[in-house]
Amino acid sequence: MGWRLEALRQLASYAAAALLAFALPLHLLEHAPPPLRQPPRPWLLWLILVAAAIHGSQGVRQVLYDYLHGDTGRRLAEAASLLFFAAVAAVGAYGLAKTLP
Amino acid sequence: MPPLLHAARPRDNPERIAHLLHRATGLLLAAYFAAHAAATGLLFAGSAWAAGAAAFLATSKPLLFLVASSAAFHGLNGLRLLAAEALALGVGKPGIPRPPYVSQTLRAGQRRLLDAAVVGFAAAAAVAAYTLLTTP
Repeated sequence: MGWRLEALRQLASYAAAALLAFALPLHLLEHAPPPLRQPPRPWLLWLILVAAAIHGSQGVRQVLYDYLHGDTGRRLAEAASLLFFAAVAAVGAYGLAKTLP
Repeated sequence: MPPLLHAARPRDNPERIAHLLHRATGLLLAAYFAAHAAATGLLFAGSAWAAGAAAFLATSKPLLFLVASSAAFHGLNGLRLLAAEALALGVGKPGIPRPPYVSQTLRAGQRRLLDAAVVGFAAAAAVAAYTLLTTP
């Protein structure tokens, strides 16, 4: 695995974390008690889905890399990370596409 | 001493505790997010089982408190890590190592940011508890 790809993944994870720090408090306001409650924003839910899938899959991969070593371990970590990203993105996108206008 | 317990010793290094908590809360949030996305997606695919799971994930107050407080710690500590790792803010200036060989980074501004993250986390957890307890 080239170091450039590793660096790109880490930067993507940082960018996704920064987006989540902005988007999650806004999402929380959609569920706040009535005086503070905001109407649902479709773009916000899509943003959270993409950012959380990127940040979560990179986080799962980092944790697994600390415990799984060698070629087989690294391949397992890559597969688990990819599976997490694909499953969350696919099921979440399906749910959002069905519910949002 | 087992590695995990050794890593959890807070003496002169609360960053170790923060690292373990960041990891634990991150895994919890990843599990919750995956379950939330899956239950919501399957609910609209017509799964009756998913309806119960989605309702539990959206209404269980102890679970919501755990998720809200975990998100507060993970988010605030994550901002500290973002500042230190990605922007090199709060890590101090390099110096010649002298006894007792405490790293400059462990005495720099990021330590104050960690204190602020813990205070912010406590406040957010209190607000989450109040909101959940007063909301029917």
